[in-house]
Amino acid sequence: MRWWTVFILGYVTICLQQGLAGHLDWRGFSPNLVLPVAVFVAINARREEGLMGAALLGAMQDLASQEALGLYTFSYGLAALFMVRAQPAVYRDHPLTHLVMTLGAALVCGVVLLFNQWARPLLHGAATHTRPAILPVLGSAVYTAALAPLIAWPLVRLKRSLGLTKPRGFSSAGA
Amino acid sequence: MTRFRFNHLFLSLLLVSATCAFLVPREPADLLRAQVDAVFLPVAYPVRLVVAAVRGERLVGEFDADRAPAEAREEIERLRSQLVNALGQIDEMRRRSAERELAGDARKYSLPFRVAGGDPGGRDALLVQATARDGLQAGMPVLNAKGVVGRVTAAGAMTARIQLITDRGFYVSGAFARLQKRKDGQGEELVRLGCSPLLEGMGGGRMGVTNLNIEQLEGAQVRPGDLLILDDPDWPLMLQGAVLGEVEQVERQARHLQWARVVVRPRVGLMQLREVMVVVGKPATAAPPVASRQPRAKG
Repeated sequence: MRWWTVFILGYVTICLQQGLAGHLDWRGFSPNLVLPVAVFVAINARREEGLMGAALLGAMQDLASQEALGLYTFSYGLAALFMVRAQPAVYRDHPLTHLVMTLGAALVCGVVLLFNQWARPLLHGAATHTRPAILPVLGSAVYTAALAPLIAWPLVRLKRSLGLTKPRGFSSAGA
Repeated sequence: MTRFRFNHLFLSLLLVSATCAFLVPREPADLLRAQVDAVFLPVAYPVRLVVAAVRGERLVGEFDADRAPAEAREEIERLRSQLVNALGQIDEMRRRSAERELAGDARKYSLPFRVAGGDPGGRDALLVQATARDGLQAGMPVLNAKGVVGRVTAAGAMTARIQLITDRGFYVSGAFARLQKRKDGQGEELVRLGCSPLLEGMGGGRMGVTNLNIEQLEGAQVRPGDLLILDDPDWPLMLQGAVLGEVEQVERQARHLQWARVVVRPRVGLMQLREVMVVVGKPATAAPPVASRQPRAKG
């Protein structure tokens, strides 16, 4: 995997997310454009590169987001652990694969986010405690998954530039 | 690197990130982000401009004769918001007659800043092109022509972050109010409706009030379309009475039927704002950007 190219891809995606924030919302649900990129890296790269690449994309999003620092690093890394194990069983370039894998990853991230919303005020002794809202998280997960094939389509064509093509003689069983 | 050592490294990374996510306080994280936000501006801001152009939004201050009725409606809404704000301040000044604070039009003590982007994590937050050298500090209120927008959470090298009033975890005290015609028919008066709601940001552009029971709301006759105005001693006097939003829905809570849930929406989509005004607390001397100059009144 070419780390610099993936880093630039992550940077551009986060900038797009910042610029489009609020304009892509539908009924209060907002998509996460970075997650499909992290999913794409996790299912196409070698195991170690996929795990670290997804976690680093999460770290970049942590630096730009208002959520707790480290939340996206942790949730993307956790989701990547499941995705790299599924690599041998999926058609990596199929849109349905991107949709389903992104939905799964978004749900994992959503569970982590909801737990953080519940636990953080308790740990910090906050005077007020907002009940975690499940519906916006679910809606955003479905919305993100619906956009995943659109986001992954140009990435499939950029696999060579990203260094995510399989070398000759590569055995997926060893990944 | 062997797989065993990589697994250790990766799990350590997850552990450190989880510890930060749950234990690190918000303020140091916001300060770090305020220094890094500028890195994303060169791409994020042009994207936002392109989106605004595609949506056909115009810069504040442009005047198009074909849109005169719409401009007039916008001006009327802005004046109504100012009227509500002024009437609320008068009420508050009667209660705080011993205090000496800044009062009057909050715009005199505000500086305009362009919005450069939003939060990429789905939170209700904005980035503005502003720095600590502009005099911005965490905690400063932020407004627009139609009411309160939020508060500054951190100011960095080239950007400042604003938490919107609709963001999860944002709390502010308010009051229900209604503008209605005076009995003598001469103009309008602001009528407060008697409740003391605590407004809570819910995300997704909405706010909620869940600390009142059904009897209180029915007694105050709160209904959709009523205004929610600022009534919080933690905010400056000049902002008391500023509009927070409009009541969209009044319903019973699903789990506690005795208690009500009031859904409130700001009068304008806060995440689509292109410019905001930060109350810096002293008379503004800087010339506003070209895009924010209002057309001069004729005569």
